[in-house]
Amino acid sequence: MNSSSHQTHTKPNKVLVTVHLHYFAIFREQTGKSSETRSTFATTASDLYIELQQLYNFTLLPSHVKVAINNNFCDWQQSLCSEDNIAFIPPMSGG
Amino acid sequence: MQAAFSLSKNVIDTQYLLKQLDNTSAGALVTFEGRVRHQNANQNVLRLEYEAFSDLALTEGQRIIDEALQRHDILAAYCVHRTGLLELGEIAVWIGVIAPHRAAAFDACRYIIDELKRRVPIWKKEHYTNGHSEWLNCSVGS
Repeated sequence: MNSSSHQTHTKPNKVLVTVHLHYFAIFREQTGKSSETRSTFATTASDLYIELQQLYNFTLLPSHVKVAINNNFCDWQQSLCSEDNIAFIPPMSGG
Repeated sequence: MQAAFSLSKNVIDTQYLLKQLDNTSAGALVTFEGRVRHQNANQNVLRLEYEAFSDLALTEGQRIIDEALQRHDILAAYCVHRTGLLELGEIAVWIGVIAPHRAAAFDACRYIIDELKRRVPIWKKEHYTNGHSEWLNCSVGS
């Protein structure tokens, strides 16, 4: 087995997905927008948050944030699909 | 018909909500009003700003009311949460529960407000008299 075929087996091809992001409260202020459509190689919500955290300097640690995909709370490890609507949820403070 | 859980950009019409809870089977009515107070964590509050992720807030809020109806012997419950800018003294959240007996009405009302604060995607920004403002629980490094 040569090195290039080895790489093919251990590193799956990256897939670009296009997702719709919705920003609320502190995230809306830190991004300067309420929503955007982005193409990303991130495969999970967690990966996407890290990507956006670097881009927009999000101050909240992921451990203090929840994620919702298509209007449902979900796990950080959920895979992203094209056209997903994604919202990162800062610590809630209703009431 | 009034939805069991709703969001409102305008002042909450508590008289209208109470009318929805008229029921001669109810021996108890418990209401809770969360109001804007003038101080928090030693800061003087000028006003509050509430923002909601409407779609998810409505789904999760309705789920909480449904849970209250299943867990407690109550007849009906309504909850309305404000969004936008609120001045001191305004009602930010109103909950009303009717039940045949008081214990279930108290318990269900407590359940709804506690779960709402924990699970419904609504955020509060405090505007202080010194000109600063801050989203609650979102300070740097949180």
